[in-house]
Amino acid sequence: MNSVLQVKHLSKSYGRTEAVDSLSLELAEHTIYGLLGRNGAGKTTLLNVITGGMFPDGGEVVVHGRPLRQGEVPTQVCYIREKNFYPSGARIRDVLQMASVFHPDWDSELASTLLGTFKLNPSKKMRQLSRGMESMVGNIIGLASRAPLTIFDEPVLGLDVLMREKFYRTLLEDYAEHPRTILLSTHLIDEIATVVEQVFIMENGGILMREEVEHIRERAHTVSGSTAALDAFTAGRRVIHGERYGNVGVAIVYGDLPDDKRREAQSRGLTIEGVPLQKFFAYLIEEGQADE
Amino acid sequence: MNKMGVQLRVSMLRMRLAILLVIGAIVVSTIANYTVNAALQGDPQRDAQDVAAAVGELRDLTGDDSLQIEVPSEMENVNVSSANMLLLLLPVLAIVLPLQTFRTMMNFGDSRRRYFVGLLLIYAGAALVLALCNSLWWPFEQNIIREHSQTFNLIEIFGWDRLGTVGIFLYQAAFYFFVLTLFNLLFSRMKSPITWILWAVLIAAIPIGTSIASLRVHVADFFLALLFNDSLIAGMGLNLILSAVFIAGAWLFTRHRTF
Repeated sequence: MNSVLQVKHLSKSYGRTEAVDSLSLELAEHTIYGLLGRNGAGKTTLLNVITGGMFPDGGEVVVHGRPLRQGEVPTQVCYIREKNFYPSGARIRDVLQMASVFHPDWDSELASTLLGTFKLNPSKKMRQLSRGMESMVGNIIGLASRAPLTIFDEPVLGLDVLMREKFYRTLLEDYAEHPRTILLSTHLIDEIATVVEQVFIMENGGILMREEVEHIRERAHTVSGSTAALDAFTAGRRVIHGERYGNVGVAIVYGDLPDDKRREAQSRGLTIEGVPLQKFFAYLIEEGQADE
Repeated sequence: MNKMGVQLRVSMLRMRLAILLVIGAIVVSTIANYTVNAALQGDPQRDAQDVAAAVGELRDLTGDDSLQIEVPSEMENVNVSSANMLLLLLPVLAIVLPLQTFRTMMNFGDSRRRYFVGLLLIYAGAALVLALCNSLWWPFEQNIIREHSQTFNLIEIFGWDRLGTVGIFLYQAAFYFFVLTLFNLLFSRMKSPITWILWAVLIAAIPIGTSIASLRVHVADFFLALLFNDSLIAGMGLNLILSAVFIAGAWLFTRHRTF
């Protein structure tokens, strides 16, 4: 599969703070990715560098096979920022019309349909919109742009649960008809788990983990039982989190557990269950911090 | 609509309030001037009697019989030309646009290079439109407005009226473009220490230049050459050369400007 974006050993710091630290990643075409990380992990800085809004201190960004030089903005990319900078006096329809000029694959029909889907009045001015409505205007631009690389930074900020689900559903439906590379940056892994194929988990300016969502589901386990059995079973395995309550304990174990290992756990009186992705994400980051 | 059209639309949206404020200021100023002029244009005979009575009272109070007050034959308010007040838009435009439109255009996906070229085209258009406004207003001001009130206009102050109708327009356009590019340079990258140094140099230049006798002559010569030049070509040329220097500086700032 062709590469749409390559980031090689990218670094960016603000004074003494390393926002992005020798980070490398690659996005293939026709794939939906998730970029996960807590606030301050470096996600927005990374996205700003990728899209030419900021300049890296070191490393290289290659978009659609072309290295991005300082001061350049990549073509065929649509980046929907967390905070929009559209003129507050502009009406929604004007903002969409203006955005269409910058995206050669713009689908006006889809933009009009989405206005109805998300119940946005095109005559409303940007300053009259709630935070969630602002997010939706950005999301409509991102979807209607049909850019070969579309990046959404915190796309569901301010949206209620129904609207979030509607947005993800719309994104998937449109992606199915018009495959492209989409990168969703968020800290809500549970919500994007059904949408994205692969996730990059960012912490302290680096990639802590790159994994397919299905693999995470298969490899993340909650093992609980007596502490002695738990210690024996988890020895040599990657335990990303552990809790003890007297003689019993719980461990979040990351790795393959084939049937024979599951039987062994059962024989030791241990219970194995899955881990909610949001919890796994939180524990993983906690572990990353503890390792420092 | 193309990318330039988007930039024009965004610029108009960002400038709308400033344009309304300047037009409002012109209207308020015109009404205030009319009121003041009307108040000053009383009955000269009665004014003289009032002044004589006031002088008499002052002589009684002070005991000084030599006290006199000279009353000018014409007591009239001199106003700034309304077309000149529109020129307030020059600094406002070159402050608001680099500060308020860069991020918007980048957010839409524009490139720095195209944004900067678009910005210069807007400045050139604004300089031409404002120069045209003042050039068209100038004969109207001379022949009609000055029948009723005294005004002053940059065209007269800088002696551009000696250059003929086309000269008036061209000199103004070049000078307005110079003002726009100067302010644009100062507001293109506010976070850069180089901008702060530029600000400091400019703020210090005029007081230092005018307080040191040996420099004063050069400062005066510079402004004479820039604004009061007898040669249209030399005057315009100097304004445009300096504009080119400011444009080069502003491009360096914009090229390295981050979101």
